[in-house]
Amino acid sequence: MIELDRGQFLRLGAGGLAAATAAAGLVPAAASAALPAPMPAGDDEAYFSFATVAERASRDLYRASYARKGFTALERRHLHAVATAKRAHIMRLDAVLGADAPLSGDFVTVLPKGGLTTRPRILALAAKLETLLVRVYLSGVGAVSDPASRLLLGRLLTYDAQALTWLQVAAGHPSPSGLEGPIDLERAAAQLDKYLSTPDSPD
Amino acid sequence: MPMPKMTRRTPIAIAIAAAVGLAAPASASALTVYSASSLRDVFMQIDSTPTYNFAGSNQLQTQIQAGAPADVFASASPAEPQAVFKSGNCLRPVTFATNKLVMIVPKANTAKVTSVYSLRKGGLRVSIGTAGVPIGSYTRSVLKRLGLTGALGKNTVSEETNVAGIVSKIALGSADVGFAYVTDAKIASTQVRAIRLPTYAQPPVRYGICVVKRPGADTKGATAFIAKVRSTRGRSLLKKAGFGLPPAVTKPKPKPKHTPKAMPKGMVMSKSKSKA
Repeated sequence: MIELDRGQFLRLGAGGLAAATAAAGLVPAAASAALPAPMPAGDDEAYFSFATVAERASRDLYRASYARKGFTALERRHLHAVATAKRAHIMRLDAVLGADAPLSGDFVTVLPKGGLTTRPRILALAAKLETLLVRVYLSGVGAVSDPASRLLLGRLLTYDAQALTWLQVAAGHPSPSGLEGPIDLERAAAQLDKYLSTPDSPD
Repeated sequence: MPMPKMTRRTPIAIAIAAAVGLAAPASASALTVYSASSLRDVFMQIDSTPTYNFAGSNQLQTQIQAGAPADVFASASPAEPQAVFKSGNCLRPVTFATNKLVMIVPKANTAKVTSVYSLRKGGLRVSIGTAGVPIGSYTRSVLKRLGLTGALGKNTVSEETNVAGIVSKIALGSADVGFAYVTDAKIASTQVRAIRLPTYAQPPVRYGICVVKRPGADTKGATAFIAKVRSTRGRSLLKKAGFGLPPAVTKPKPKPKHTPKAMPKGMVMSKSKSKA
């Protein structure tokens, strides 16, 4: 049993406290443990590799859109919030990939010419990317074997599905009745390629 | 005339002679350039005078660190020159070109391979680089990102120590699928067909070059060679060969000499100490 005086107790951060209490056997390990870190096994990592690049493209589009005309202040705030959330998602995905995560300069998002000229076009383009992400996450949730990886992909699926609904409602479409089906990485990669370029690489 | 009798040592002697012959310089010159195989054609165009040793970048790294008589080291990845720099065997490396990975198949494509995902069906003869050589590392990285590492097991995989070996295997039809640089596919375009890989899975392929540090090295010649590679002509030849180019290094403009504004008549400039 570890005894802590008040000074030691206050110096401990939340994580340190959890670790110390767990190590001391004060609470059962399962109850004190944080969410397990995703450890994708074998080829399951491909979903994370795809997602981190696709989320970057999506984030870049949100970033480019909230300065454009045609959005209300409230909508701008929402678009900004989604871009911020996407940044956090990318960091989580990169943390899973570790050294295999792409660097910020490895890819450049290429948005179609005229894709950002009007509000409907921006919303349509953002919805296209969100749909792609949602379909890949759906596929990943069903395919990956590691429970923690599945949980993370599920959470990202939930967020992006909400973002997609918002985009569709903002575009004046009736609220979607359901999600499109999962898509395999082969077809998803072909779709994502339209929005990507590798800087300084041969054409 | 009787033929000389072959002894047990003869085959060994022949093998050594062959090895020495293979490693023999392409031309006699004071400057020795150790370079990745994928740069063979373009380097010969940029400057045909140095003595070249083309091989897998990791092999060259080992040789240079062991004291091989290289003056320049050009690698298909920044990792090797960086390691040589860290071990004190070369000056700080620079990036001078980029490349892209492609899948190559024989022109006839009898295995009917249409995309990298064809690996999933299995039964193919696949040629990849060994794990230590850049092309091997890049290939493994691509397959991992595509979720095809497991699919490799369904195929017969052979490993080559450099990219030239992979291309020749595909060109000869000894393998159905290989992974090489887009520049190699371009050189062998009459014998092989390139199939592009998804962009999101592309690893950044960057070529590093450095001046080798060793006693008796031709540092001046090496610096001049690197300048030639990075010159406008060098970059143009690299581009023509299919390489990508990092942004050109622009020399900073010389600062204009400080010319004090014309002073009104009667005014005198005084020297004043300013605080740092």
